[in-house]
Amino acid sequence: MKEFWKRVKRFLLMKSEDLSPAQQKGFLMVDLLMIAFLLWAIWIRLGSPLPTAEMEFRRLERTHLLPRSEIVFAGTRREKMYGGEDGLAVSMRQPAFLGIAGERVAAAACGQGQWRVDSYPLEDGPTPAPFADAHAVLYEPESRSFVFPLMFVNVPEEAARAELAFRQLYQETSHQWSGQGWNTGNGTWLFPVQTPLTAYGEYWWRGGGYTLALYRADGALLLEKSGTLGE
Amino acid sequence: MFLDFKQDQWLDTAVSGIRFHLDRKRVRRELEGHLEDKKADLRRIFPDIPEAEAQSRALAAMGDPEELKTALAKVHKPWLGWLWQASQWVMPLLMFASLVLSSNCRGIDCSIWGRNGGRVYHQIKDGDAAQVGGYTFQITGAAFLDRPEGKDHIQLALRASSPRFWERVDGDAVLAGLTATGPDGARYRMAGQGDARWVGDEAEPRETVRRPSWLLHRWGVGWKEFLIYIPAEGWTPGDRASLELESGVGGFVLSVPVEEKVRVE
Repeated sequence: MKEFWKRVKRFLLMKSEDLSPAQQKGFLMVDLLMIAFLLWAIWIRLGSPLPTAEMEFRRLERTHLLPRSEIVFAGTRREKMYGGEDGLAVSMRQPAFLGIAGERVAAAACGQGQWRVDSYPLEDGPTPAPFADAHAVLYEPESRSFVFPLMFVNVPEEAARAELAFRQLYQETSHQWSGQGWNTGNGTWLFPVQTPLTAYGEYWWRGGGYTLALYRADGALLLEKSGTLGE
Repeated sequence: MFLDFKQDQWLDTAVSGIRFHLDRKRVRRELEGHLEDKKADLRRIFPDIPEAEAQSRALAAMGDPEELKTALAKVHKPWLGWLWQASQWVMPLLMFASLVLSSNCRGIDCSIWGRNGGRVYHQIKDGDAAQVGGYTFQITGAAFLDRPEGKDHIQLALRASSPRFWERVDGDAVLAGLTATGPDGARYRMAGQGDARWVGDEAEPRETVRRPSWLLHRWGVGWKEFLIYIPAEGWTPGDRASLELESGVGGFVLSVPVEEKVRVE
């Protein structure tokens, strides 16, 4: 036993320059294996992040047993303000995706460092696809504010303008918002809904009612639809 | 002093082709040892030999330092040495980082393995298994829990695993599509809409419902195991319980005979 500990002590106190090339190679292999393991453990500790937001979305689909969808909206935080001629613009604050597969739409967003995905059935016509928890910035000529980006998919191409009226009883207080939306492409529209002052966290919008009005380029009403979010 | 300078010059030239400094030091030390051995041999054979001549002969016997320099440079690659030295620094830093992150780790998403609670009362090897969406689902435990102080249940353990070890299945997503069927044919939705207990096509009011329950039991590299508790009235050994999954990428029905009865205080 004494001899064993003597050898251990000699080993631990051995200087690098005392090692032969073969010993160095051996220790290097062990070190590299341990480094690989530690890097993997750190990656797991950090929540296994992937290089791009789209890869995160695809992983969410797989881990939530959702079919691979066609991405119709990708907000990756690096773009792209959706702007209008009236001086207003909106940009996403965090990565968010909408994907359509068959008769369902998946809405995924990364809120407070956590990705959440929800799946909704596609309705006949425009379908609300709200994110569990998401934020956008609304830029106005003199100010900017944080808003909730309420998304609709399956919006007809003929729609040139869209208006949304949202109403909700939140914590026994009536909350309403109405305004225009932005065409974000691929049949998706974004509405910058002001949240109730005390609303925070996921699914604050659940149970809220909406009325969506779509207009053609000539101003004629194309479609009007009402419903409840989260049903 | 002049003799030392000549020897040093020879040694420095011979090792100058080795780019990694630690290797260079070690090889220089070895060559110096060889030189001293040769000089000692010469002094033993010729006891009266002058020191300068002993050194000259020893250096001549060691060969041309320029040729040795080329040969040593070929053998001692610098990248191995640099990698070795870098690994000596990187590993303690990563160990420290891992410890710091471990202290902040809350919840399953940041841990490689762990347990949440509960226990599998009766393990099953080679239970029914099915593949859905790249995951293998398998029943790994089944037992009838006889609780003298409470309601009896059937416990099923369901494991979901994947070779893509970085993508453990989401528990809520699995349970949202899972229906359990007890030995009496009663079907229980594990999450979402199923507030009522269904028997055939009839639904009983919520007040009389004994609800199923579940928990995430433990997890590891690429897998999770869930414990599912189904109300079990009128169970007899050998009665079958089953789990049915419906999802956007497919489904399964896994069935198992519940043979084991366990008394739970």
